[in-house]
Amino acid sequence: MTAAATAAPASSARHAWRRFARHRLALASVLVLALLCLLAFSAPLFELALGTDSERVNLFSRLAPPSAQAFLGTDELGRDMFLRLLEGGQVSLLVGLTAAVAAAVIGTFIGLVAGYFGGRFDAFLMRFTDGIIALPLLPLLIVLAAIDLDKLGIPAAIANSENISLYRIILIVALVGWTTVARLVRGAALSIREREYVQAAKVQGAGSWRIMRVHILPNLISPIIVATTLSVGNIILLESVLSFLGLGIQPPIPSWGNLLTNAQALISTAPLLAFYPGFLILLTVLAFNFLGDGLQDALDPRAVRRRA
Amino acid sequence: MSSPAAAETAQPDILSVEGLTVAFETDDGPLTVVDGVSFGLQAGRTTGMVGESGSGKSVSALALLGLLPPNGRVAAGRAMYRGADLLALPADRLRPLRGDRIAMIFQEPMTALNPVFSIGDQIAEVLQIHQRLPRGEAWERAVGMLRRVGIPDPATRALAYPHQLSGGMRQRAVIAMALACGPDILIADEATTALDATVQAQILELMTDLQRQYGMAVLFISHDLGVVSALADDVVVLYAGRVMECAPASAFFGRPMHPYSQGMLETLPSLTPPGHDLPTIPGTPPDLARLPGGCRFAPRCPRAAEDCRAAEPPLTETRAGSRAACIRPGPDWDPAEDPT
Repeated sequence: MTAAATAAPASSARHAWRRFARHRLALASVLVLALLCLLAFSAPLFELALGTDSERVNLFSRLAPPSAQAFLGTDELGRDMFLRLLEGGQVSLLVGLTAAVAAAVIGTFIGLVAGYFGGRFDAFLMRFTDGIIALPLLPLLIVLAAIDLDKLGIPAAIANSENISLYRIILIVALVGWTTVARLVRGAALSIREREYVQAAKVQGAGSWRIMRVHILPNLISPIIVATTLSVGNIILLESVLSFLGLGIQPPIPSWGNLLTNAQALISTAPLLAFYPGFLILLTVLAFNFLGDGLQDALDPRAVRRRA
Repeated sequence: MSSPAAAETAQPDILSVEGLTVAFETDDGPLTVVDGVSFGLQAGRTTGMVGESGSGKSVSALALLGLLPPNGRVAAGRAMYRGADLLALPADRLRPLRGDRIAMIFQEPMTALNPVFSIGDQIAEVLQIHQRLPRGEAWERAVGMLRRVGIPDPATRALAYPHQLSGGMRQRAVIAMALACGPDILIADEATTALDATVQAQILELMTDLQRQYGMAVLFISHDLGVVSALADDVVVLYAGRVMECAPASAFFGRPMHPYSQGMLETLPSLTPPGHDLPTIPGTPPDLARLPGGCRFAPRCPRAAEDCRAAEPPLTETRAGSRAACIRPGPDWDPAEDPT
């Protein structure tokens, strides 16, 4: 035991990394996602280098084939497809990550409080969660997305700003997307609060919030990270669906979803315009799912043994 | 332990528990699991609380700290500590006492430590809660505590996570955590039961040392009479939620007065000559929901007679400093002499 005791405390992180690195797909996914993010967020640099931007219309070179000027050709308005995909990627990734994190925060809070305090409080919160899960999601999102913000008394400057569709979709997704994390966290909190070290913390005089924050939450970080990662893919899909239906991100802001919508009308003349955003959505969602699987195995050692 | 018990019992109690009664709400109605338990703790002395599983030892301790499970409640009794009744204190006045003035250590040192924090962090946390020490200073003190409980190279070990330590080391860390604020009272619930025999001996020695240094009162809960005999100054015997006998350790282990105590002592392997079967107390502890009338030990008692089943015998003084809840107490009871 003495040998083990002298091991560096960071060893659990090292073990986790070793387990993660065994997952080839997850490792590749990290590279793919890093590359996508890098490309998407360096869009302004490309615009500078190419001397154009993603919204510049050029009716003289509509639906142009790939060239040195426009790597992936142009769309039906002569806009540079490569730049639009990068900009769309920015939007889709940002929406996916922000909404996933926001949903995870809401879900963690609700699940933690329900699981720790238990009893009627727990019953109420969980029935509320069941209710949210039982809502027909797509019609609800369509209705929410169609709400006229002007009429809600939100200042026109905000309601009509260019980015409002972005904020709106993040909010909508976060408001309905927290249930998975809430249930997960609640279940884990229920079991952890019965552990002796929680009892020990109470014996030491720690209060409820301190116990939740210091003793329960850190034990839940791994499953929360895994669930959040897996949900990013779903949210990007959801954003695509909403944008495809014309209810998500509004043009001229490009997103992979509304690029698909655009391409729909031209599917017979310019199929590649639909292929690019579709392929990027597929790639990103797959990568997030593989990454989530890899993290699950890395952060939960028991899962590895089950696989082996 | 060496000084005469009579002189020391004169010392005022730092914690005085009177008539503690705890009931649990069950599907079949309330169940009284601790029934009128009284005992006192004195600074610098160790009180061993012994009894079978389910006799109400741990529940009594948890009740004192206000940590009964949600379906349990204190039905009656007082626990006076420095002029305040612990059982009546509101939660926000009891919480500052826990871990600061009254500390508790649990049976299983692995599960009593949070797996995601280093032991240094966990000891420092107690100091941060109660003494509002800045992190750096709390850490220094935590390392100092680890040194005091005999952990070698404490500055390095403070960085270790619970799974990197052996069972004995972990229990030392748990003890360090409990003693970090220098409590008046330490409740040790089966603190050495999960450890193997040699480690157990080391931990017992450590606890005796630390008690001498800190001068605190220790309530040592155990089902293991051997361990209690090594440590306790006074002994309280619980059976089915009631105190059966309460005596200085020397008197108790020398001449137990209650037939249940005698039965328990006879079952110790060391008292049985080799080649003989270990004696046992016939029968099983009673179902608390269906207690027999009168003395609850009567169904298993070799001395039980008609009057034992009539009423529950009160705890009465049998000799200086000793009390037993028995109509026919005494070490040398002979069936032939019994008038009934």
